Amino acid sequence: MNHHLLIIGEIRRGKVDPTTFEILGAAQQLRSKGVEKVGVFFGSSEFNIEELQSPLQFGANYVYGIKNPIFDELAFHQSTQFIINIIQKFKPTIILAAATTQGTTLMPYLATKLHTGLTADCTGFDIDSKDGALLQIRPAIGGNIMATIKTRTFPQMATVRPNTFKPVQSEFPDSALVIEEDNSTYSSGFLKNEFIEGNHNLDIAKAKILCSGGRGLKNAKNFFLLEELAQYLNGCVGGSRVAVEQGWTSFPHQVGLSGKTVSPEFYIALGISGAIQHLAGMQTSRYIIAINRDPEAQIFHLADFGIVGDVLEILPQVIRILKQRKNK
Amino acid sequence: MEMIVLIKQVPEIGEAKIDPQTGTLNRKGIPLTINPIDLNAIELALQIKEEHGGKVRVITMGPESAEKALREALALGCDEAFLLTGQEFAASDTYATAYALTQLVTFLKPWEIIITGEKAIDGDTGQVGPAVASFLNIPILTYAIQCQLINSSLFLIERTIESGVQRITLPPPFLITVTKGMNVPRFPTLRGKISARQQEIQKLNAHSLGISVDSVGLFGSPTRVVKVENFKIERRGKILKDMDPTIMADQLVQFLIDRGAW
Repeated sequence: MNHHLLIIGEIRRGKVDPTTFEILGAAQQLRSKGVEKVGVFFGSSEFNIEELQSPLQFGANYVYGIKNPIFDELAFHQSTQFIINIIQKFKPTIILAAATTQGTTLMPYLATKLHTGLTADCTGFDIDSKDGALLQIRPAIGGNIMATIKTRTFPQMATVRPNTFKPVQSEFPDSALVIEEDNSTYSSGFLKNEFIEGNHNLDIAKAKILCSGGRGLKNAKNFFLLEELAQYLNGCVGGSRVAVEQGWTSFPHQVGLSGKTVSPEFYIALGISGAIQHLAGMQTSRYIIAINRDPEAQIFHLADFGIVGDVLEILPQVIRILKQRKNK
Repeated sequence: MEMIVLIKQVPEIGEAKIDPQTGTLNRKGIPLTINPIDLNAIELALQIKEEHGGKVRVITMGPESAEKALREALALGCDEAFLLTGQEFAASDTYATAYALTQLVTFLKPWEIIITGEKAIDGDTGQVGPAVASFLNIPILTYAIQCQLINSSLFLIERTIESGVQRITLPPPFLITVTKGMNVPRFPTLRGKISARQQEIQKLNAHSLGISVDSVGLFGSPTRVVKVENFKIERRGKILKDMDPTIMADQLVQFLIDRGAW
């Protein structure tokens, strides 16, 4: 089967979001297995041509942009209509988007309109050598289970966990950028719609380094040490459910099944024992580092590097060493 | 305000243990309860009702035993409960589940808003809410941290997104999915528990809603789980103990440097 894979890309503050390049990396891995054409769609009120072309250097055969203000409103009940038109025109067999707040909202809305299935938050893809179907792989909760899912309808759709795939540089000679201006006026039905820029350290799902604290930190004052660590490492701050319930950090920082699923390059778990609901939210991290006083703590089964000891004794030492290095 | 709250019954993950032999979740004997984030959805509905009046109807799809989750919701103060149940719904994926729930929600018209949790902690997809909104052709507002009725027919909603907060004013109808940080769910009162026991839970199946059997369950589901694999998440990393804290801290920093943390 010759697949045509369409990525619903994201543009934030004029820049193409890194997740779009990551999904292009996933698509490149499927090239030898029957994915023939890869396209990226962007919708926005304004485009920077150079930015828009950037996916062409990472393996996209084409980029298709539609200019219309409705995209900026994040009014998915309206913007999906544009995407449906494009899908009807290009007839992709696979549609992927990042499992961001946009992707996880737009994709189920879109899949429903297309009467097709959708797999959430995938960490792996393959093509079935027998029937050519897209194999969508995702961790299922509760320990060490990976589920492989197939969609029997078309297009086959999935969202992709951020930080899972690496972009690969690759260019096709006949690749093309098409921008269409669509002046149709769509109304979001929103009487007011404002965007308040937040603290980017809140976005733990996309952090490269995440310093996460739990019960072992004992109080809010100690939790501040973790914030200091995060500053030295240029990382973000996360917390277990206990840390959030105790008010040491706020809900947007919570890692786990009732908080966010994260997959950073470095996950530093401090005073976190590793309840199932926590592990399920971070087990796909690239490197896991743990400090905990209990040698039997579940977190050590997942750790690439662990220290059995009192986090309140070791963490200040780590910060001291980082401080010295910085001053050098 | 006429409100519908969609809930799901899930295993209490906190009570679950991983089977050391297979590395999978041992579900045996784990109590079932309302999905914790759905409690925030119920809380929002009850707060709106207390302030502005109206009715809160809570619905779910699941086996007969999901009645327990609905009774918990009634005990909290929801007015009516509906259970969509039947063998025909077994093994529904998110598409088929959303389709079935949409039929029930349509049957329950009129309503003004639908509220649900951002995701269920067992499936962890967060797809059913947006899919129901899509079937109903109404606006979808996910990841809400704030939802207020600012006059008789306008809501102010704040949703968290990567770049910060989106603040929207809109009239009903819409479907909103809430995050755990939105509010603190109440506990049931004794009186609530007693009256919930006596309340009727209305049960419906595909037939009573005129749903064709092959549009739900395994038949109606476009996705299939074709393989479930155990994989060892055991990483067998280097674990230090009984050493001088300074030396251990130094090795931790070295580990980060060696792997290119900066």
